[in-house]
Amino acid sequence: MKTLMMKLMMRLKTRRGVRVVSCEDALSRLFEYLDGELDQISERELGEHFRICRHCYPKLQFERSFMEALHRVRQGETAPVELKRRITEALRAEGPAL
Amino acid sequence: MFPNADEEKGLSAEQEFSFKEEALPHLDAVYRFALRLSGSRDVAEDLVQETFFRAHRAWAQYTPGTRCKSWLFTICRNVFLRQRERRQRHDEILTESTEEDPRTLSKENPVFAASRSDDPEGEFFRALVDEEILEAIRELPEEYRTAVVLSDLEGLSYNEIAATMDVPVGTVKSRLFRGRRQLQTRLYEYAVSMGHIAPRSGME
Repeated sequence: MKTLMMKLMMRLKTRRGVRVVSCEDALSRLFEYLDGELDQISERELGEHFRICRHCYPKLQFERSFMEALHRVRQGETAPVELKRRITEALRAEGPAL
Repeated sequence: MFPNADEEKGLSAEQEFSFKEEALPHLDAVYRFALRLSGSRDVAEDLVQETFFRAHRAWAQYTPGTRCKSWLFTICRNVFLRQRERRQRHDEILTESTEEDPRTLSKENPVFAASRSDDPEGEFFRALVDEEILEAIRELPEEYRTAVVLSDLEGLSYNEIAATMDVPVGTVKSRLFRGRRQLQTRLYEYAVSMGHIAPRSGME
């Protein structure tokens, strides 16, 4: 009896070797997932959850659009050449080898 | 140009070289960070100059292996906060509200709920121009703004942000969470006002 219960529990808990995570758990770690901050196992678990969960997948896509918009403004801006020149010259005046 | 330069003992030629090789290449990143932090090009230029001056003076204490970029960001933020503190003490006004919109704290994303029927994939985020996004970032409280800028604009890891801001990683997570939620709310409001998305009563 006990073994049967155990087996049932195991089947509920795993799906193709990946631990099943709840929606609440998946959503609470959504940003960590998108930021690439999870360990490999957790990342696989959450990835699997988002892949099969109709409730969470749209939320993932929504946050992804948001993050992509932020990342788009990530690059580009550089310091004015004049500022760079001023700083390197001031440092050169202080030190021997710059 | 730099004050108190005579106070420093001076770096060896080797240290000068490593400063040039390791610290100076981050000048653009520090400038971007200073710009996002202060919202002003003039202030950003002063911040960068002060940051590199301080970094240069402290270079002998810099531990190799520490990520130099985080280290420079820490100095830059400290300079910024100290200057702001001085300004605030001067006119006794807190410029940033510590009040938090309770909507940003709920587990469910209220912006997602509001745009769900009209734009479930958040396409409106892509329609926003960079200036609108940067303006919304500037409006965040400093602690959220710094976390969001370091993570989303400069690509630092949670650990690096924790080191830069001198807080535990858990605090970084919650600041990012709250900062991003506030940012989404602002961007949603922009998008509605620009007609990118239909307004929903849920957000009013």
